[in-house]
Amino acid sequence: MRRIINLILQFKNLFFYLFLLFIAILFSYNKSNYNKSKIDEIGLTISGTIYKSLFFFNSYIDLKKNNLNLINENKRLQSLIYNQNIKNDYDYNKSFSKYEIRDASVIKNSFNKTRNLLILNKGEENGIKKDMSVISSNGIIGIINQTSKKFSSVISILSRDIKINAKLKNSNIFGTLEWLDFDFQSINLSDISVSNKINIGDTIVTGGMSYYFPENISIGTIKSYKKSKLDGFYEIKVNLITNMSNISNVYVLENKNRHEIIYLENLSN
Amino acid sequence: MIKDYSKIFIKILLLIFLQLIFFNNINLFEFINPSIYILFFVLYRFDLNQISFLMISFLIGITLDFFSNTAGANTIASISISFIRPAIIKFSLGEVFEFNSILNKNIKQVNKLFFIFLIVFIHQFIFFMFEYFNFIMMLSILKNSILNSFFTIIILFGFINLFESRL
Repeated sequence: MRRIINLILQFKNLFFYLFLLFIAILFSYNKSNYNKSKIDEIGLTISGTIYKSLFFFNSYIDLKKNNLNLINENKRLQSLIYNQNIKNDYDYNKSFSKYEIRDASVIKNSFNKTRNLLILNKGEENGIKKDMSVISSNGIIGIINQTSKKFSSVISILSRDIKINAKLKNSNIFGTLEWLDFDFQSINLSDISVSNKINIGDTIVTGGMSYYFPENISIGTIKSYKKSKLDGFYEIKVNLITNMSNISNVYVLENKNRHEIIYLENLSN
Repeated sequence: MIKDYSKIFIKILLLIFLQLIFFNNINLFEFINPSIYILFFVLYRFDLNQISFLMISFLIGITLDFFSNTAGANTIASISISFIRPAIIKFSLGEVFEFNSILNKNIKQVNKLFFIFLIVFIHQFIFFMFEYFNFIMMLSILKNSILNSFFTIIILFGFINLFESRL
């Protein structure tokens, strides 16, 4: 104990300087968004490298379940293709298509915090950029908020900072999805007026009104609802289809028309 | 000791006041703003506690940061220069330096100039590194730090020689 105290006393200038430097960098991080994004990029590179080595072992354990899921998804997609008579089903990334699809693997996930984040093993050198949306084989996962050269981080829908535009599948009524509880299987839907009729078990899909997700991707089913007395809206709890605790393979969608839509909106504002 | 620190406090207030109101708005050639508050790091006594020197320079840096919107660059440059200053004293003024500050008549002008040059240049370099926060813009950082330190050294030298008796 005495030796530790002697060591600290010997280098007291250095330790005090490092402590003040830490406070100054914290101040700089909070004050400027540019500095924040640069420091976040460094953090993402470090955590991505660490989790990538763990990913090798984890993915081997999940191989059998992943294969079964892929076979089911293939069946579903093949039925869509053959029922619609599309002539050339190998060119799914043609240049005039609206969404370009890339695949990625999740190397870190979390579902029990208030702001959950995923890390994917593809980054800028694979063409992934900020504000692309991420979906899985059943349901939506989130939106990409930061990329580095080899990794990217995704804000999961299980996060307080994210709101998603959604609609009821049969009646096309629009609402907003927000995650306010700590239960990773349910999410709240708001902004649906009480003049509409809703039933337990109705499907909720993505609305397509934001520039992130394409339309009509299933999100979940209504678990329960109640009318709040204060405003004229329902408070709806939605059961998520996606199992957010067990995600391994995701698809990153790039909306090719995003820049044009945002440009048009900025012009008219 | 309280009398020492209160005199230092008044000088710090004067330097910060001058820096914020006058020297931040000179905009020579539209980008050069000489920093006069570095006079504090040059003239602070060599024999007082190093920890209190670090604390005071941290407070100077944060005050200047708040009022000139530089998001941390001033603070980091101030505490770094005050941490490195003992090493600079040994390097430029000699291994054994028995005087209390550089205002003595027995110090060679070359040593004085080298000491002021090192302090100003290292401070401005660290300042611009953290202001730009990007290694790609290294040429801009070097240009800004060299030109800013050149004009700051001219002004500091003028100040020291003019007000030597009062300081």
